[in-house]
Amino acid sequence: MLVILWLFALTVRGMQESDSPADQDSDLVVIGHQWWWEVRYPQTGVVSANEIHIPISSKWRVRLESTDVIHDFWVPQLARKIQMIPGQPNYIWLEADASGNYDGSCAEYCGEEHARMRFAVIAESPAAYAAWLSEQEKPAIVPVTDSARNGLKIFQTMTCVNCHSIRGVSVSANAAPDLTHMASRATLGAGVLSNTEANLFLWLKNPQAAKPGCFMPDLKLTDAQAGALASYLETLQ
Amino acid sequence: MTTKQFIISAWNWNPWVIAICAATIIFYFARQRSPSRLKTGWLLAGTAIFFFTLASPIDALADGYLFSAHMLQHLLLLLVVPPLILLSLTPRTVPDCLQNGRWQPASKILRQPMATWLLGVGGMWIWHAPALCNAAVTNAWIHRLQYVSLLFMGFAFWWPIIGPWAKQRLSPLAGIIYLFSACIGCTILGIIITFSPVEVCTIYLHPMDMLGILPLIQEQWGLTPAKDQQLGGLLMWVPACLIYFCGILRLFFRWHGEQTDKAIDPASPFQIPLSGVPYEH
Amino acid sequence: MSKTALAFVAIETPSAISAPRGLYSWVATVDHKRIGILYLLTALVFFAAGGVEALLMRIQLARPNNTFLSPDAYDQIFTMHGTTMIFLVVMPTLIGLANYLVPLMIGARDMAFPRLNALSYWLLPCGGLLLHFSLLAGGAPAVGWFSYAPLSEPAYASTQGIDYWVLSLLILGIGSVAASINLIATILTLRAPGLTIRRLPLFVWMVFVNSFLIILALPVLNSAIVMLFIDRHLGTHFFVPSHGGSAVLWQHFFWAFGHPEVYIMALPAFGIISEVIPVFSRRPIFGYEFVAASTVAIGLLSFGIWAHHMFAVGLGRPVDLFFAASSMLIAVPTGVKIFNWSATLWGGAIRLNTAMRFAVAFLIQFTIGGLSGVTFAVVPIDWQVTGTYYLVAHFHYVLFGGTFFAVFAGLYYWFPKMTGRMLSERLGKLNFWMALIGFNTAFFVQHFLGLMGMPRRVYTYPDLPGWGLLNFISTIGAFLLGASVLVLLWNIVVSLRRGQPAGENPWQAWTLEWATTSPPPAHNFDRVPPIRSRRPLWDLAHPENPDPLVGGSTSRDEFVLDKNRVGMASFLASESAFFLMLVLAYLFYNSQPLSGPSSANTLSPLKTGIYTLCLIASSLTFWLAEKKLAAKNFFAFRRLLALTILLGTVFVLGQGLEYLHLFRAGVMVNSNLFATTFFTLTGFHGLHMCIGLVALLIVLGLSLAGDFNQGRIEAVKSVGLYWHFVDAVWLVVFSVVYLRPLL
Repeated sequence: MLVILWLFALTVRGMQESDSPADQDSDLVVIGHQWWWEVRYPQTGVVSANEIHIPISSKWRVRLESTDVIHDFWVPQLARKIQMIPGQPNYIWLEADASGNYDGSCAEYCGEEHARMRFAVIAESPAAYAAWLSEQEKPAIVPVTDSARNGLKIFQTMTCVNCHSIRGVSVSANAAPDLTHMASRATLGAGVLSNTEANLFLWLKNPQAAKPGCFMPDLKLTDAQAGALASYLETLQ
Repeated sequence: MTTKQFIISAWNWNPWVIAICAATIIFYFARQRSPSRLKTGWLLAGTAIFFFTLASPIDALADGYLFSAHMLQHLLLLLVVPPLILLSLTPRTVPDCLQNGRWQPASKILRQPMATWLLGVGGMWIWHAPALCNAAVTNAWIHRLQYVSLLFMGFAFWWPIIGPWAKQRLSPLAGIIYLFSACIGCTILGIIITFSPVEVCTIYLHPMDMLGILPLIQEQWGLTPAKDQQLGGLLMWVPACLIYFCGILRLFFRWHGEQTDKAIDPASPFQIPLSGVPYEH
Repeated sequence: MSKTALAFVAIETPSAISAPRGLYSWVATVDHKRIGILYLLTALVFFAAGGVEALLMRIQLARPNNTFLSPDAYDQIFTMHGTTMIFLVVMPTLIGLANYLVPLMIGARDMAFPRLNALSYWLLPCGGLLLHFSLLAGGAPAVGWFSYAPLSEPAYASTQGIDYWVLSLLILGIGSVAASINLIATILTLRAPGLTIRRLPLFVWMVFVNSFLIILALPVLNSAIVMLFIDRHLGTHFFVPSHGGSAVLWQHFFWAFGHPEVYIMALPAFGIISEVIPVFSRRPIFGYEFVAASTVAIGLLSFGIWAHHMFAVGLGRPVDLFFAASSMLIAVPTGVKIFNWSATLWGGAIRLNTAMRFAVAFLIQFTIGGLSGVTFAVVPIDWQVTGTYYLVAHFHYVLFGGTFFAVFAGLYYWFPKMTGRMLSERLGKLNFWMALIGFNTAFFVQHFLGLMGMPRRVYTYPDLPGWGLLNFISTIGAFLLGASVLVLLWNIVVSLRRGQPAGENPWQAWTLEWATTSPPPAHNFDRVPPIRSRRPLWDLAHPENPDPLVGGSTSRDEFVLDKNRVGMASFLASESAFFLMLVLAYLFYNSQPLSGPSSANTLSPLKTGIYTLCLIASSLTFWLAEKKLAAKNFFAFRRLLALTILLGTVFVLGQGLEYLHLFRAGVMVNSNLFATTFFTLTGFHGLHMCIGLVALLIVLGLSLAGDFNQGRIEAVKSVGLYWHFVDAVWLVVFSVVYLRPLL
């Protein structure tokens, strides 16, 4: 019984330290989708996907939601696990003491590609964070090379705009990750492939081969089309 | 105001409460010459908790501030004070008039476990009907009625379990079912209150801050009305069930240990009827 | 000496029936021993299926980024593995053992309701086959064994796998409840003379408490999956947040079943261990009363700790804390048991055979699993380790390292009784060591994987340091474990043919099942020894040093119960649990103002109130009818019975009219959550009413045929209980649905 009382006291203490915050505005909003993470910074309007940047030693309030099924936001080294429940926002604290790249994953079975719904939290010095943020706030870079301009045309004319947004080009959709600065991210497909032009080409040619079951259809792009599109997207730093 | 200041200053030295406590103790010692230490202990504990419930800061909090404090009062009056007092009683203490005479009808109810069960569990439920709950906080007479009724219903409920007359008690197994079903009854109510998206006792949503302690409660202690209702539901559910649970365990052990102090007589072969009782279909 | 005057008492039994032969006799059997064996064999078949599923998963997980199984295949397999192991293997095994042993251990001839017993069994292969049929019909369910909403709703799970899952679980649930009703009635009413409740073998006691858990917990699951099914097929939104439903409510309902379920899987295992350890330590169990009381404590507490599966949901600090406290509390009675078993071992003359080895391994492994469980009760720890391989390790330690090892111990212990042959000790040793090493290799490393961040239910994982190696080790362990099961099967096959003949009591054990031949004759016992303590066979063998008398020289308990009433009361308890969940769902969705139809604007309390009065009157007339029957006034009985049926029919028609009126007004089950919960609640009540009316008609018919003229009126009393119950449920429904808005 004594052991239990001691454990219970520890429990209370632990919960108090990490308790969900009172009603105030959030610094970060993460919305779970089937098999990717929508990341929003409400104070600046920046929208990203699958990669979260935070300044170190800053206690941020994060709001977690879901648009479809129950997911679970878990970055083991930085915060507790919390479910993302459609219709019921949850709140946690997120704070990193040291800069680094912290892996996170979805921790509630959410369908076929639950295993590959990963994200990263990149904690950096306030200066580096501010620099990153200011880059992200800018709209998408206008393409310069021919190949890239071709790619932009393909993006606008094929059905891409129905799901993806690029600020400065088309912002009506958010069924799929925001691509405004997609080249600045380290991975594709929520941690499935590393973000290189070659991998992006493979992804565009056949997303189902890379992440079977994901909701991006195979658009039957020719090699030329995929190449142009990839070269355009990789300019979006 | 700080918590410490509040705890020191918010005692309510209600003369009625003091009088009842004193009367109980005097009456007890008058009827019961030299009671055992254990029984005296029960009595004093019961009386002290009664006093605590109605005179301490809990009462101040329950009086329009915190739903959970209100629940705590209910709990103590229905499930803690009556059994403690009952445990202190012996057949001598209780007036003969309960056995015969004018109080016959009342004592008849005490002998009907269904009736006492309904009183105990029903009492808990009925005071949570929003209309009654609000009325009890706003109207002083209904408030008093609530306290008195809770006490009586508590006594009635526990009578078949730990009443002073062993003959009027339920057999241990029946007692276990009695308590278990009551536990379910209060669990359901507790679940509804804890997880209900709606306020049960709406008066607690906007307390009139007569003592100036609202900031203390809501900010320092972090008890928003939503959390307060959750806490109230949980109090109604978990500690209440633990009390029933302890009762069940006590009955269980008593049942198991019964009759082992009878003399062991290995020599007597028992007479088993040859009619094959267990095999009839 | 007078102490030697203990003599066998002849109990009159029906003349011995020779055991029927042939396959058909097995299909048509109502003998509890055969049904028990059928349960065990069926569980074995499904164990093979579940085991293969496990091994397939482990192959896929042996290396990072493996492509052995597609994601969808893996998801179906892990869902089937969980569902199969829990509902088609562990529960049937434990119920099967209980079925075989309980009547023997209490000196009875068979279960209280042999035909119901057969039905309970046959629902098992029926449900199991239905579940596996999904593989041929579009794919097995792929949403995990706990099928969280909204993933299990049609928008996200369009194949029919989940529908097969729902239907098969309903069937299996009904079978389990029926078996438990049978066990309760048997244990309460069919004990041999002298076997008072206080002298029960602990296995029987634990099965008894466990049966209450089953009859109260399975209906909770049934209510939840019924609601899911209605969502999937009638367009309702019980658990669909986008239309006002609640995904969290599914979690509450499921885990309110799920938590008692894990104790349902543990308690009979505790019972097995409580039999095996004393026999092979050659001393009675230490602290019988404490083990018995702690069982009751676990049973009661288990219903109040379900939300510890939901600490990551964000229920709020007070709620989390209360559930943390109660979860920690339940460790105490379990700890008491472990202490008592260990204390029995200490200072005993240990006979280390295979059964005992498995039992000792159980003690250690269950303790490990239990300790990791307690770490989950510390909420902040849970916030890191729930949903990871640490959790997978925990539940495999308690369910496999615990329950399954106990089952293996029980198998080696009771196989001689069931078949008349001993299992080979040589093969048993091999079996044990392979199982022990295989199990611990497979699952111990998973604790570390979880702590390193590997989530569960993933078909693959990234190549992070250490993950590949640990997973590979786990896979090796799993295969070793699988091989050990093959050794066990081989042992069984070989021993059936050439095993050493066992005799009545090869272990010199002390409970009643050892007082008859191995295997027992169809009627179980020719003679039952006198029972005055918890070890009747010890007393018989040691007349100079018998056990102390338990419970005085009484040969009977204070209560005498009729098995039909007990059976019906247990059934009604399970129905209460079912209706309770429907009422809670109704209250949950109707305590806030809803747009669209609601009780206040579509229902008429006055009209329904009149029908309610009819229903109450029907209860009254039935009560009067029973009195007339007891007074042998058959004519009045039949008249009053007919009146009851009439009043009941009026009520049902009234309800039907109300439904019609609602349909005409455009209020359908999927209109809004009021309509959904209203129709579900009143619909099920109406179903029960119709069943009640049919039962009453049957009683009337039987009465006209002269069935009750001899004074055997238990059937009428039981039907009466059912009828009064249905009426009482209606009173609750009426108050909650029709009267509440008026308050």
